[in-house]
Amino acid sequence: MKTVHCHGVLFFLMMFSLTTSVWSEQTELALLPTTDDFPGWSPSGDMVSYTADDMWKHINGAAEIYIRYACQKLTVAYFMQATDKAEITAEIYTMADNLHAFGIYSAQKPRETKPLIIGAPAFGEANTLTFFKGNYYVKTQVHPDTPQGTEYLQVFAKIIISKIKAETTLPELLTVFPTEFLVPDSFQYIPQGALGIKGLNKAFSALYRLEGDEITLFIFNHESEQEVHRDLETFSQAIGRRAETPPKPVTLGHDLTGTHDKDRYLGPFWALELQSALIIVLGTENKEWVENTVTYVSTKLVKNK
Amino acid sequence: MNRYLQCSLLMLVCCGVLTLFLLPTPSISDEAAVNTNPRIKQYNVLGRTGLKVSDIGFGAGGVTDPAVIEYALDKGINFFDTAEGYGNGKSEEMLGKVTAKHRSQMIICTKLGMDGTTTKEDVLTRFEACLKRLQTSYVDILMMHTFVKEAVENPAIYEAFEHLKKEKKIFFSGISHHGPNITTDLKLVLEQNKLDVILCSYDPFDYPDMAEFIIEAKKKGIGLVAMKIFNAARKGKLEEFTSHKFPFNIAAMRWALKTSNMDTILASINLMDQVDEYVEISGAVNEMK
Repeated sequence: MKTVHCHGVLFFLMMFSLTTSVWSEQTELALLPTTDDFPGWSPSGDMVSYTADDMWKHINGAAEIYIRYACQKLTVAYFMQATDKAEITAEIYTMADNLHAFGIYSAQKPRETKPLIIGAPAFGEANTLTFFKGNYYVKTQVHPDTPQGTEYLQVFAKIIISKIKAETTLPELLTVFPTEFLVPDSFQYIPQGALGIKGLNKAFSALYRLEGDEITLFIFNHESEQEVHRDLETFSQAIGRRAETPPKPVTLGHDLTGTHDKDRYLGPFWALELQSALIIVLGTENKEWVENTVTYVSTKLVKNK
Repeated sequence: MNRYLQCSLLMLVCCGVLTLFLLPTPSISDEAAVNTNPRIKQYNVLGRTGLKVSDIGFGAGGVTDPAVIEYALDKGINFFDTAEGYGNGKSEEMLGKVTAKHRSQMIICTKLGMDGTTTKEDVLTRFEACLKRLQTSYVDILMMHTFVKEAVENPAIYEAFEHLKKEKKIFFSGISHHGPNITTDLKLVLEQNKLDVILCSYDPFDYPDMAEFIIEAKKKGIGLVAMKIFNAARKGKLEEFTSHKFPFNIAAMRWALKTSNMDTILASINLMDQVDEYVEISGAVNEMK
């Protein structure tokens, strides 16, 4: 009786795993254009999927950053068009959630690139187009690199965007960044190792330009003061290890405390503790700007709560 | 007695002055770095390129902060591997933020995906974009990214390489191979002997003829860069390298340094702590002799 019961459970588990893998395969498959959606084009070869463990087989050394950004699956599909002998490659990265899809998009977007208006945050050059929607980060490429190819790629990308049911939601924390002097489209999310420092995780950043300074503002948002303090400790220790003296303590306004100094690698920095966030500002000695900015962020954080 | 003391003091002063002169002159990076320990202890000649590369190379595919690159430079790492395709060129952009100040200290290797249809103009155009992202006028080594037989046999690619060499935009050319069939495929590259550097996965377990391949490449003066050592290290016994309770990545790197006989081993680096960890075991091949 027990054996029968065990076999039953085993059979159920096998069927369940089979169903989940087929279902998961279909999820990405369902995002791709069909011959009806994209006349003249047809799939070329089989769609191939990789997990975080074997993703390097397709993208080699580039796999590491996707893993850091919690990529769960990579699906690669090829399409061909016989008339123009054109080919499109689509790489669909299924990220853990929207935040990580935004994160990898923000990490890979070239700095001064103009965003494309195609129904989702996107950027591209002549023969490549990259976008994210929901928890999907999608990279597409057309060959050959011709104006016609670029048009095909835009149509192709728009079809995938229309098929992704999830909406593109930008992280709410981006709303606490001041907008004055902000470099457009410069937000980033860094899940691990912000500023190259082990243990400084879950950071949002944005670039600012004023009076010749290029300033980066980092916000590490936390639930508790202890976590904020721990981050400040991690930062100060990392800086202190490579400096002759630990970073100097600083107080701004009535109650903003932290450290301010100049690091060989990061340049001038300010690290200031708020109740629920650590703020790090790089690239300026403008005390007034730092104080105003951190006060603004502090007020917005309180309102958001 | 006084005369004896005077003589002794004079001798001491002379010795001190002499020591100051005999001490190695600090390099620019030595002067600049605040804490110079640990630093790279071993540099190898990268085949016929004559470039002296740190035994640990910086795999820049996932680097997101230029400060980490600058930190690695100060620690003596001088070989930086990137590619057009790493993060839509973002990896090259990160290196580019450091080249303005440190170009002469850096050996940069970048790669372009190529195949049988790649034209000379295609290589030249895409390479110009690499230079722009890297903010430099030259790259030390330009590679075909991933072995494609049709690319290796495509004369247009070699024409492009020669053109770039004449213009002093590159100094050496090469190819990367991620597997499978590494040693079989790369025999063609050895036979042709047109490329100066090979970057490949180091895996003596799946490729028992890897040692033979390395010897053959060295005979031809081809520089060798190893990557993806973790995958291979998992298949081997690392007791000898873990005896001091090193974590897996460090044990694997020690194993590769000791056994591979390759000129530099790439480590994917994104944190300053990783730089410290890897630099600490530089020269492991000598320590374990």
